[in-house]
Amino acid sequence: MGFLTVLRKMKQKEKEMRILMLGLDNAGKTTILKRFNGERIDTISPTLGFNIKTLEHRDYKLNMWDVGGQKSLRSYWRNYFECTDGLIWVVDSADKRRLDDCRAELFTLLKEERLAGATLLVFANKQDLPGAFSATELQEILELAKIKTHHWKIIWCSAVTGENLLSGIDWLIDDIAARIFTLD
Amino acid sequence: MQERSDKLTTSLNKRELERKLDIEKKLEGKQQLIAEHEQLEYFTKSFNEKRIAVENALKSSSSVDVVDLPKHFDTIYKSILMLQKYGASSKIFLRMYDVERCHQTVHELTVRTRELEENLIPKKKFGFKNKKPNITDLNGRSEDVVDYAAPHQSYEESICGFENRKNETLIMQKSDVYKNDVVLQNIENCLIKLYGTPSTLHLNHVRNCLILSGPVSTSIFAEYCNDLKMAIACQQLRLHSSSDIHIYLHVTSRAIMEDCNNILIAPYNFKYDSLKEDFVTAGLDQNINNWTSVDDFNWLNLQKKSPNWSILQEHERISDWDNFTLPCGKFPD
Ligand SMILES: Nc1nc2c(ncn2[C@@H]2O[C@H](COP(=O)(O)OP(=O)(O)OP(=O)(O)O)[C@@H](O)[C@H]2O)c(=O)[nH]1
Ligand SMILES: [Mg+2]
Repeated sequence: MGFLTVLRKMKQKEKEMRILMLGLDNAGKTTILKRFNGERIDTISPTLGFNIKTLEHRDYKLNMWDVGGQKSLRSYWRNYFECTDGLIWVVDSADKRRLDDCRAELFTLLKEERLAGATLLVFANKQDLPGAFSATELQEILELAKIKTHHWKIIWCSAVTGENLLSGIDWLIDDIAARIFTLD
Repeated sequence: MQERSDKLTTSLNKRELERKLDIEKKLEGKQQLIAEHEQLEYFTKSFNEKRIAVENALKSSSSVDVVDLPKHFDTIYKSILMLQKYGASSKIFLRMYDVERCHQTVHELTVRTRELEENLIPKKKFGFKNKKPNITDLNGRSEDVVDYAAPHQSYEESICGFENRKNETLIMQKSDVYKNDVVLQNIENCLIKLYGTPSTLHLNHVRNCLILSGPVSTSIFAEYCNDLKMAIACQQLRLHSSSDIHIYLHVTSRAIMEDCNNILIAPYNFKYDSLKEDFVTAGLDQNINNWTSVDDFNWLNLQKKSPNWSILQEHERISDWDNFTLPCGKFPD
């Protein structure tokens, strides 16, 4: 039995998933994580390193990794790629000026071999802001249709109001589960 | 003879036509008035219905199971958001008075909901295991090459804020900025005053300006800014690729900077009538101000303080913004 098979078997028993949250700084990654976990969101600082949280949701144990997105931290992202089942890419839908940057970073990431096979959920966050692009507009701007290497979906949400976070996470879990836990 | 009668008919016809037009015009005006009135009445009615629904939901909170409370409050926040959007989309036919009333209602509901939420929801949610967040040690940084895709410019930008301005006084009032994402872009030699509570504030390529702002609910993101003085309040301050800035700061979580230098920090000192109220509206605690703790992402040395920022000495601080002029000269009124 190879390493991956063992890992898969272990995961299967625990129904455990490893989820990596990335995106440009200020996108709202930490806020999403805390909101989802029912914690206060008004004391969150920009992330200097990373946060890990283990949540139980439905029957699954989710290991959520939230890594800081400042320019000077992006070169460390690769330290967190290993064994990722799901990737959540968080976008500040109202930050129109940095969408090119956002797309470039996402596509660089998707070329990573170690992320191959991970399900991609794009959260079009900050939909409570009047100036936000819709998920449909973002799908086009970020050229998501070009992604052929990963299962992906874009879902709008607001970490501040909590809207739609659950449906995003649920889609991600279902997609991953269909992939790992039905294999044998 | 024939000619005369023709003329007569023509002028009669003309008069008849004018008379008809006149009646139509009056009728139209009247209908317009009625329509406006009906619209306003309809708006008031459905706005109130929505408001009452939120109030009822709030009242029912105490009987909701603790486990269901986060969801319950999410639904309430969503309804308040809908209420706000409804008000905003009806702005065209609302009078100033109505607009103010809408803001007031939305504000009151938000504050009430937040208070209730804080009272009812225990800090930790059931059913989830929390691990303490870990902080990594970041040493030995390396360069990464990013393959930048071609820029995309086909999306029309309509912003809330100011763009491409020079030598002006730029002011936004409460209702202009409330819950909005405000942008200041390509601005030089301007005096900028934002009264009220934006949701977020972006500064991009702003030079030699004075910026005074009320409390911003979430983050302020500034990039490529130089020679500024600003008094700002926010949850997070994120400063990038900027230099020579004096910041009079109120920050409830933390300020960070990256690729910045000569940043001088002092405590927030912009004052206006409804400031206290605005702190509440923005959801910021006026008693918590971490203005002295700035993280410099280019200086991850915990033993020594970053040379890129320091505290502005008390005797160098400006206390009266009303009589302040920028080095470039006077502002137009
Ligand atoms: N209006 C609005 N603001 C949001 C939303 N989500 C996050 N924010 C705000 O955006 C700012 C940045 O959020 P963070 O969660 O710290 O962002 P991050 O992606 O973790 O940033 P880094 O840690 O620097 O990578 C905070 O001030 C949040 O309150 C949202 O849905 N709507
Ligand atoms: Mg973060």
